[in-house]
Amino acid sequence: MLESPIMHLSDEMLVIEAKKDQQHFAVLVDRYVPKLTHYIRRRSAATPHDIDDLLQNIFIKVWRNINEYDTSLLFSSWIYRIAHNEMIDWYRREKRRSTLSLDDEAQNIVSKLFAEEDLVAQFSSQEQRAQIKEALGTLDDKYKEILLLRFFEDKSYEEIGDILRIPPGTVAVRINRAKKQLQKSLTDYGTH
Amino acid sequence: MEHTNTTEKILSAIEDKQITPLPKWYFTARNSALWLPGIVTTLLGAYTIAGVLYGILHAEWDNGIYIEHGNPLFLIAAIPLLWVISFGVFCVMSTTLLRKTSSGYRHTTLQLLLVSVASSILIGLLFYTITQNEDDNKVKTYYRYPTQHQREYFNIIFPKPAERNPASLRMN
Repeated sequence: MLESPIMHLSDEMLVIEAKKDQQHFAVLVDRYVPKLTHYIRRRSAATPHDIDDLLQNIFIKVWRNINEYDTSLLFSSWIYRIAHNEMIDWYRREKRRSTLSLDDEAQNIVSKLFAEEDLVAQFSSQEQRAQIKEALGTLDDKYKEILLLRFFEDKSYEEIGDILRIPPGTVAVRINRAKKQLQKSLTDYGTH
Repeated sequence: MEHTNTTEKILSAIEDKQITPLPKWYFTARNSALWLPGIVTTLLGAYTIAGVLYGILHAEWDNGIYIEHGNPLFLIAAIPLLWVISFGVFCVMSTTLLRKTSSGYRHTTLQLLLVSVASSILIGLLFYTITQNEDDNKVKTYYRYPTQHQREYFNIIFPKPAERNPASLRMN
């Protein structure tokens, strides 16, 4: 199968072209469905049906507001912002508490977040995965979101600021506080 | 070009619901609706600053206030206090509005507040300087609101010592 040249366009170029030809929008959807599916899975305990609904709502909003997109912003930050807001609405609608579902990645979070070898070694075994998940569950919502964006979606401070609409300085402060809160919870589990 | 099933479903949903992109002017108008009041409140803040300056520099130095209240309060009497408070309110309003604009979140509240205060002061100084070249009576009309009830407001906030405790004036 021949690869279409539009597949190689940047997200920002695709947005510009999508206003004239919806095929370009379809490429954007193809590109972001896997990323946003991961994000939604990590951010919630949504069922596959819920995920489909959430994705549909997100892309409908993207299409409806495509003229709002400001090219000074990365398209990925803009679409993640829409996804973040859609997740908040979903939690509200479903009356659920925000969560982090890092089943396969729970162990990695300790090594991703902390340089302290003791803590990493202490939480490397399989049975301690539940403790890590429990510790993550105790974090404030704003800390869960920021850790997810930084360490699992690999977003920069600036991108996180654009997604959550907060200054980059606040991003740094929140990440620091989130790490401290998580470290404290993990240390408490370790000592009990 | 082939797309994934999810993409096809999303595109059909957009087509079925007949969703079309909102026009560019809608977003421009929405953003302007936030900028405009932000600019207006900054200008109101500037007028307040010019009024405060006029109030201080053209105070009719009233010896009565000096005798009644003493030196520090006499200085406060020269400042149109309500206008200083109004200036604060306008600055907070413009900061809040600027924060809601499309790129306002990139700055801290303190940064926006400082920009708002600094712009109001600079524009206010400019406004005051320009008006000083005009006829005295005309200038008076510009600042009549900040200064006309200055003394009355001052007396409400700082009542005369005798009014504070009339019983102390009674002769035994």
